Amino acid sequence: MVEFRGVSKLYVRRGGPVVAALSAVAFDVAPRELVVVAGPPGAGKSTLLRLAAGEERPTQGRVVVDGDDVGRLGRRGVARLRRRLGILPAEPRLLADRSVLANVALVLRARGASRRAARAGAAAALREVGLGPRLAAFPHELTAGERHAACLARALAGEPHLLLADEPAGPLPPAEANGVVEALRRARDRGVTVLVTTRAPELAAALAGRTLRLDGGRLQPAPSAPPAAPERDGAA
Amino acid sequence: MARLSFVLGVGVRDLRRGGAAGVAALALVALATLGLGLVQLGGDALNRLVAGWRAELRIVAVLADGDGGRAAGPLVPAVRALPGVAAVRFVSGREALGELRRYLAEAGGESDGLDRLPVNPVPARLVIRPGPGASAADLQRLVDALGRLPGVESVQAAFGWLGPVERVQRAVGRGGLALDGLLGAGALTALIAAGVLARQRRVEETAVLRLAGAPEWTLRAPLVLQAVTLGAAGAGLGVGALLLLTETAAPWTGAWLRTALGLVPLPAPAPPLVGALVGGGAALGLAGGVAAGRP
Repeated sequence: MVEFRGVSKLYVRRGGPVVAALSAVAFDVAPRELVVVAGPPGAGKSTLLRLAAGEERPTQGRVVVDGDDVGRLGRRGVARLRRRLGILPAEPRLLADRSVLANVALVLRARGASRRAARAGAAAALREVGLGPRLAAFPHELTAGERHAACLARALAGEPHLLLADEPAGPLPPAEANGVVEALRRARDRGVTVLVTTRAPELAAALAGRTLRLDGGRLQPAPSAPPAAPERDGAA
Repeated sequence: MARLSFVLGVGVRDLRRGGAAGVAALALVALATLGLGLVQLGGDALNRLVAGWRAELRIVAVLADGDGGRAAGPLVPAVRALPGVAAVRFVSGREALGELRRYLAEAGGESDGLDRLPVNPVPARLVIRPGPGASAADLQRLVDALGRLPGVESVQAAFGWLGPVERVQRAVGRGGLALDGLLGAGALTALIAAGVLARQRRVEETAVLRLAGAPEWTLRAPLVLQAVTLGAAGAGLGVGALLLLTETAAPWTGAWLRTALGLVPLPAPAPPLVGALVGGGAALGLAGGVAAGRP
């Protein structure tokens, strides 16, 4: 589902030093697998997800997502790819002038769903993350954890092939972070491939997926034993 | 179909997001449309008035040969062949005297004295009607050419008014278009501003939609839709004001135009003009929307 082949990403600033956000990163994510990329701040985790989402192009190497070489895609190709992805950015935001349901339905409408289908899909995604009773609420009426869950629902709406989640638990307290973990595991169980980045080792452990360590833009050798064996069979 | 309805929905929101800039654009497009319509209709009215004056314009070539009957034979075809001549009529001395007698009688003057004269003092002449499109310079050339013809003693024409009138016509046309160009540029700027404002106000929404894979056209088309709607609606308002001036207010404006400017009342705008004005407003909106949607 995701292939990183010798991927490097350099940022060149005029008159400044060349910064290597990623250096020769190579790994695969199999369909229906949940992979956690863990590492300290500045390790290159967000860059890795932005490359997978087509927000940036690699300086070197290839990034293949759901069969598409992302670095070679034009604007239309990237948009087509993203319609098959769910993306949860590091600082997700809801639109303040719409209800939670309308926020989630908006992305489905933009992908071509009818008004009715979009609302039904949005409601299902929100129920999945435990926001069933808050469909009509506006973002300012929700707790931080509920807002985060709503953003996760927006990323999961429309059954994406692949979910890219950057720090999915964000600054949430452990109780609310557990809800996010559960939602991600349920998504994986439904057959969604999940690629998560986090700086929190406890989240990586809780997700029970294959964990990759990223530091200074390089993948580190795997620890002696992963927290849990990857689940590739998609058992529900 | 679902995407189209989505674009329409975002377009309607963009209309609201445009706020005061949208209202300003609407007003400026309406003003520009009204201005253009008035220039068009006013120009037409002035042209019709001048055409009426031109239709009455005659050049008289007085013949040297007394009664003139002998010279008129070869002279008429020669005059007819001159550029800018629409028609030529030979008036004998006898006819000319009769016309003078009728004129004096109608004017209440004494015409009996004419019958007591020993000879007819009124010479024969050719009355020439110039072509409708002849300019003051064309008429002057025609007068000069007539004066050079053998058998023509003098040429009489009163077209001194035509040069100034032509300058007024040009000034009205150019000045109106220049003013309207300014209004149109202002309207275009306001349309772009309304689009840019709407784009700024939905910058977060656009970011969310881009991340969700919304096709680029669905992000830009609402801006175009917003601007085209504003342009067409503004033009519609302008046409409405034009109709109000030419139809509803015609009894007052017509009298004022006749008294103050000597113009005939402005005609109501014809359907093709209405279509062109509304289409022009929509085209202005299209240009503004495309410009506002550029990265």
